[in-house]
Amino acid sequence: MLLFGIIIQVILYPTIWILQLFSHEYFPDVFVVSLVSLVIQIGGFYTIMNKTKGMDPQIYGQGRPFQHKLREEDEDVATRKPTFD
Amino acid sequence: MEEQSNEPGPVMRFIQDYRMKMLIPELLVVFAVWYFLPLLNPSFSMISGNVYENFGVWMYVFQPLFFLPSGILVFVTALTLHGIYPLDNYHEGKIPDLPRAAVLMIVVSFFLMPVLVAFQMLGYYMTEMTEFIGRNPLWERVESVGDLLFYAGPMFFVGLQWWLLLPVFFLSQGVDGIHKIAHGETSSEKITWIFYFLWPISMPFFFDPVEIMAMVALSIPAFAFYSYIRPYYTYVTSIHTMAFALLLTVTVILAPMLPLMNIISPGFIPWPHIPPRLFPWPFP
Repeated sequence: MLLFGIIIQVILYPTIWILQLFSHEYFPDVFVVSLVSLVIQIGGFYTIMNKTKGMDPQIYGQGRPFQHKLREEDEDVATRKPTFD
Repeated sequence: MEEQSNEPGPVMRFIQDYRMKMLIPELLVVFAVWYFLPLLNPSFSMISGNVYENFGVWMYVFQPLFFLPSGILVFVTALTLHGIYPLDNYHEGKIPDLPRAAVLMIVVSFFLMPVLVAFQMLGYYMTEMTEFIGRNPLWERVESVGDLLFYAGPMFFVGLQWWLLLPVFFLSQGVDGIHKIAHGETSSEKITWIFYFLWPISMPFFFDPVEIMAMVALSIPAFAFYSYIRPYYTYVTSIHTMAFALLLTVTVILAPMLPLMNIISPGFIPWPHIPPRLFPWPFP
């Protein structure tokens, strides 16, 4: 899905620019921003791939393990954010 | 060799305790307000003009120091209101004593812009409701609106861009919602996902094609940075990337009709709301 999302953008941004589909005072600026954004996303995709090389694909979907402690002196991590009952 | 100390020095400690990194989003909003000021009145700039001058006697309520420029005051308020972060730690019991300097900073910001800061404080207490009362989908939505009031407050109470309230409502639900999901902080993932998807769905109602394109290009890498650092966020990032790529596709199809809100109720989006350029485009 990540890759598809990036591919859609790779196709759309230049198409919009070449066909000049939109008109706006800041259109050139936004086009430059979108190209920079694409470079970051493609670089980021490689970063993720490198960091998880040889790992269980499950790593993509597990979400962040909850690691907050309610108080400094607690031994175990909390299962929820602090609530005042 | 000198022993390395892990205890931060006083300056670093102040920066950490008062969470100065949060100045990044806050100052972005302040700069946006400055950018909008000349649209309110051509004589306004960041260093001149009181935006409340047409409010009659209310201008003294909104800004008691009526002779100072609102643009500078909103900037100073963004700095002094950082007293709220140590106060938050005190409320949560992370530090034992009430931080005096923090209270003083909040009082100063309240004196500079009473109405703005009152609503920002209201927003702060709305974000605390999930902790004081209970974490359920209702209070989580209130928490997102609280974030909206706290961080985007200057856009409304100083920039006076009230038409943005509805789109920013959906934006705050979406941004806060996807962060709650990524951090495992929500009591109902399903409801939070619904509110997240209202964000891309609602944007064509309020914005130009180019404005949506900018939002897509900026919001995807801004959020994706989490998963570049810690890949286990990737599933949220990929949903966000896909949702906004589809939003861009829909935008291309609907482009001549956008923003849709002007078809439903003409004049809802004030025109023009595009500020003049600060720097000329360097290419022909």
